[in-house]
Amino acid sequence: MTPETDTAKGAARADGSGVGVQLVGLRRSFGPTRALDELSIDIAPGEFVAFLGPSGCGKTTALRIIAGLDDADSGEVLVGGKDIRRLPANRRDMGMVFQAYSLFPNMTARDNVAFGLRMRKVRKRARRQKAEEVLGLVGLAGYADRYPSQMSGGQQQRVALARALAIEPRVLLLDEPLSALDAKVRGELRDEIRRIHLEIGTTTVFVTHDQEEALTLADRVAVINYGRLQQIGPPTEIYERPRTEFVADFIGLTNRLPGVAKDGTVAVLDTRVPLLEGSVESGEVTVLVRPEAMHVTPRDDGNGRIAMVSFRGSICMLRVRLVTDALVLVQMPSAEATQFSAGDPVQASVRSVPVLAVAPGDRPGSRAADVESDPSLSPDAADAVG
Amino acid sequence: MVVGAFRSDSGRLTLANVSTLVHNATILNAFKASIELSLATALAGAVAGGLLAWAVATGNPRGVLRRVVVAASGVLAQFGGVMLTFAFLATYGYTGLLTLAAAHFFGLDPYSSATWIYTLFGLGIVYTFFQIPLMVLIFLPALDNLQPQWQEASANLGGGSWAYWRYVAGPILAPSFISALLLLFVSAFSAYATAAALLSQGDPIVPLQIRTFISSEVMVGQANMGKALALGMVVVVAVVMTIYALLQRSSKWRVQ
Amino acid sequence: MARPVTARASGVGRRSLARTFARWIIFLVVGGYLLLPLFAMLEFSTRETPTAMAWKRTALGWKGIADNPSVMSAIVLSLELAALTVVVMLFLLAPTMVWVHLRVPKMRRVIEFISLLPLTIPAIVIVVGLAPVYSRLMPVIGQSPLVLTFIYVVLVLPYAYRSIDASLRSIDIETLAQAARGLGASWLQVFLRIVVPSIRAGLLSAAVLSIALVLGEFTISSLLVYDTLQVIVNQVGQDNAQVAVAVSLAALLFGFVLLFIVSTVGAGRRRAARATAIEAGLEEGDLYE
Repeated sequence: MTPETDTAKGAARADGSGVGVQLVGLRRSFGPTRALDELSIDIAPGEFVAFLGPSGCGKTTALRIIAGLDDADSGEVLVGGKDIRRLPANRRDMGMVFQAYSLFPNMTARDNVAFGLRMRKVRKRARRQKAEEVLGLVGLAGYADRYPSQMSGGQQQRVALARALAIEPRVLLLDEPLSALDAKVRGELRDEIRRIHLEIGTTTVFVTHDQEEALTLADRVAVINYGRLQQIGPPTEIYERPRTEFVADFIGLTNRLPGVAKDGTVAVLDTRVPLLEGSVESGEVTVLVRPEAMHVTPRDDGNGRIAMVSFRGSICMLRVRLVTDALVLVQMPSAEATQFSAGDPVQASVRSVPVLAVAPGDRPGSRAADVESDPSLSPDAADAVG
Repeated sequence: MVVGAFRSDSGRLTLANVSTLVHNATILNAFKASIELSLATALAGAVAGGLLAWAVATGNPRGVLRRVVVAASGVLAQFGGVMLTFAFLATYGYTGLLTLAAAHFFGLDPYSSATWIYTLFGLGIVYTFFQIPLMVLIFLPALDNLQPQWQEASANLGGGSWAYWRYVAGPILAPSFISALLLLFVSAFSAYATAAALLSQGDPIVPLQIRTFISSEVMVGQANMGKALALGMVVVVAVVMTIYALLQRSSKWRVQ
Repeated sequence: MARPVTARASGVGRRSLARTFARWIIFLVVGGYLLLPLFAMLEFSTRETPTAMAWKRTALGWKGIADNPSVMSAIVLSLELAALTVVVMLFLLAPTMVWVHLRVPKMRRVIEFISLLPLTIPAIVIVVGLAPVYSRLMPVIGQSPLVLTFIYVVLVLPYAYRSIDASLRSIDIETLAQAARGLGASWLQVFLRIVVPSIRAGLLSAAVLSIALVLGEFTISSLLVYDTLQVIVNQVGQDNAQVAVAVSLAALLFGFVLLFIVSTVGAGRRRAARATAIEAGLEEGDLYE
């Protein structure tokens, strides 16, 4: 799950032809529900930004407001520096890809893709040519005459992407375009979206609740919860230097260990490690530590025992039950993990990487997506096993 | 019945009944009137009912308004023509509310020139009382199937309301609309109760002619004419339903 | 930093405003066209002076319903017919459809075709076809008007079929039945304990549609000369229009209440489904609707 460091990403902009998008203090309520609460995000020209957050966090509402399909109660949307609030959706020149079922069922793939050009009064011959060119770009060269009902879900989403790209939009808006697809197709289309973005460099906003998508695709990830921006930054920063407890919990896996903070460092499991910005800086704290920032060594009088070793390909996940009865997850390369088996006494410690310390207690109103989607990895589930 | 249509009263096989059907001017006129009446009320019902269905479909899918309209449509469309005829007479009849109100407030007499209520036109008006609700019931599911994303995608790609209806919603709804139109036609063509209750004498349309043939023993030698007429009705309905079936199958695309 | 926007200015606001306007115009015009006659029936049935506008009201027309023995017996007869039809229909159709669904899915299309057939045949044609059969059977089955039940069961078949079929499709009864069989249930238990409760809404709406159809049926009973509700109402209407209109309005309202109750039961089920969806995770798209 660790995001790859990809130097090509972000650097290789085709021509920088995109425009910047600024969301300024957006608010939006649906009855008593506050979907957006002073959301401000600055998107650079040509940038690929992912809005990441749990269901109902407001990310889709933000996207719809950019597209003009919804209105903010207050706040501004600036595109290329101009306020576009008064511009109706059909004059905004934004290409949007919806979650699913958005293709016009009565039109072939070609006619779907050409629809935006038809609205722009492009001549028939020219729009057919352009449609076929864009269909080629998304890898569907031979499918122009198919109707949506004759295509798979993945192909339909490719056509939807082509349709959005055909109008050469100022901004490309993607609303969970992969969430209705099965895993393999999702991975393929994800890579395709990234390739196309590198090729054409359109400013892109990608809404998702899937951290893997956000971290692998985006130049920067904006983590949103309860309509508020939690943190925005490059994937590595979001992952390695979470600013809030929500971000740390929502992205990746996190161990919660008791510690004592003092002078910008925290003592946890007999190790003293530096604190990240945003931490509680003194007193008793809960320290949030990634499994890969944990370390175990065999030791007879150690602070815990191996509860379970689960092989996950190149890496292994170890569950360690501490003498305090807490369970922690430790990630290590499989080659190193072979020396351990259930019941072995070990000493668990924390590597010296900066960590986030929060007020002690249970996680308040947050959830770790990976733990939910993979119960076998959940420390809670481990209780039942061990 | 089919056999009866080809039999004479003495039981011999004959084409006489069917050939009377095709040559008798009264009967031909009745078929013509039946078809015209059905077509006109189907069109009126489809347009008005389609609009009402749209107004319902764009509202809250779980709202009271929608449930009221759907339940009321169910009653009016399926609860029988006799009662609708009385509703019609209470409104537009000689002493109906609107007739009296027109006389009372405006000094008008809608019946000064013609007793329009007991004509085919009056019958057509009563038929719309069940055609409109029937259209609501038949067409609502098709409207519910319109995905909001289609409108949004159309707007997003630069289309206004007109473009959306012209290129997207219109073509998507067209097959359902035409199917509904055909069903309304059949419903009006088959209707008997409304006509029988409104017109106790005279038989301008086919079902009423059948009534005359089965309930009167006056015309000796024509007992099987009713069956021939019924056969004629079945043929018309069968033709329409065949078109309906072909239409269902012909479209190249389908809504998922 | 953020300026408050007093009115929704963008295309979204304008479009929904125009749409709301159009909706209400349609409701007023088309809805009014359909509702006016119902109001006129109320007005007509409570009129004191039958031939002029007046505010004075009377309940004589409504009292006339109870005072008229032929109307009362017609109401009883039609209700009996409705009840019998519902019972026969449910006992014949529900087990057959479930059986076909579970055990012989290949027959589904055949059953569907047979069930929908009566829809395409005009009632008056059915009378023409049935009259000779009926006159021959009359001595065997007796004179009771309740024999109409046999025809009515055929008549309600398409509507009942569609209601039950819709609710059978909405649940995965194959899996439910397999699960129950796996736990040791007999087919009868599967049917009564598993299937019937899951398609309750469909059975209810099938029953209500059948009741409405039977109470509203005129063509067949009048031509076969049975005094059902509609036939008597039509007859009474010739000399006492007020009573006839009162009965008609009462029957229409009764039908409306029945159908509305069914829609409320249905809506309750939909709400439950939505509650599940909400638990599963609310998305903004849903909220937007």
